[in-house]
Amino acid sequence: MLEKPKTSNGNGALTAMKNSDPAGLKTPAVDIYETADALVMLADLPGVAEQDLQVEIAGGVLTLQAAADQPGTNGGYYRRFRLSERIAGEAGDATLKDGVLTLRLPKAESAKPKRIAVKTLH
Amino acid sequence: MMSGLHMFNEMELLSREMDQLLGGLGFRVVAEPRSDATGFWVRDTGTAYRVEASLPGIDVEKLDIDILGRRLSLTAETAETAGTDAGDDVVWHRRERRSAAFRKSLMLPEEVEADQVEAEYKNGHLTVTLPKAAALLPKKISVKAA
Repeated sequence: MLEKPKTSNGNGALTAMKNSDPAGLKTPAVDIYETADALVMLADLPGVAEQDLQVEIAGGVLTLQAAADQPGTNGGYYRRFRLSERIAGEAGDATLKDGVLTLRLPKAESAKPKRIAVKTLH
Repeated sequence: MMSGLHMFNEMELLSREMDQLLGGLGFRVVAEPRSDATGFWVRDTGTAYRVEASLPGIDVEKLDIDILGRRLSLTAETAETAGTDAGDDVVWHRRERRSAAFRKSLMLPEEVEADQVEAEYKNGHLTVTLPKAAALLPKKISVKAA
């Protein structure tokens, strides 16, 4: 189960934002890098508190949605990414601090680099 | 080598692109205060100036807010994100976030009460409130009846 910052279902701001057209929302800047074990994403979401953020992975698609009354965001942030099957999306964890979301998605076991031992034949 | 293997693709909604197109044609009503691309706003509330900056993930300990006369200076740098193990052996896929230090200096239109300046940093948004100098605020003059 993807650990995500607590979202309060029915929270006015987030619900209202989700009901409106995502086209007007701001695209948050992200940094994405890959380590041996995981894919790490950092997203700038200034003005966003935990209860206004939703991180969802479904059908290989990662969706970031956040409500913010920040000027210039037109209500909030929205961005989607397609994740390859090499990412075990359901085992990720997310933290939000000072408007920065850190999302850590482990790679599927099969995607991790493995050292292959070479047997010597005589 | 990971090149050629796309870990992700970005899905842009077609309607979002349409919105940007329409916005460029002047259809979108802009009702926001003046701002520049990096998220910086200055407002005059009548009794004070309110300076706001979008500064996600900065090191609050190293945040410098200086006021000298009418000049306000802000300096901030991004905090090291803990637990993200970004060493030298990582593969970068995308780097969009600002990583340089933030430096901004501006001259306010009028003097402010320097010792009443307040600053709040919440959820990556900085708000600095600078009350205007008392001498500049309009004062009601009462009329003594003779």
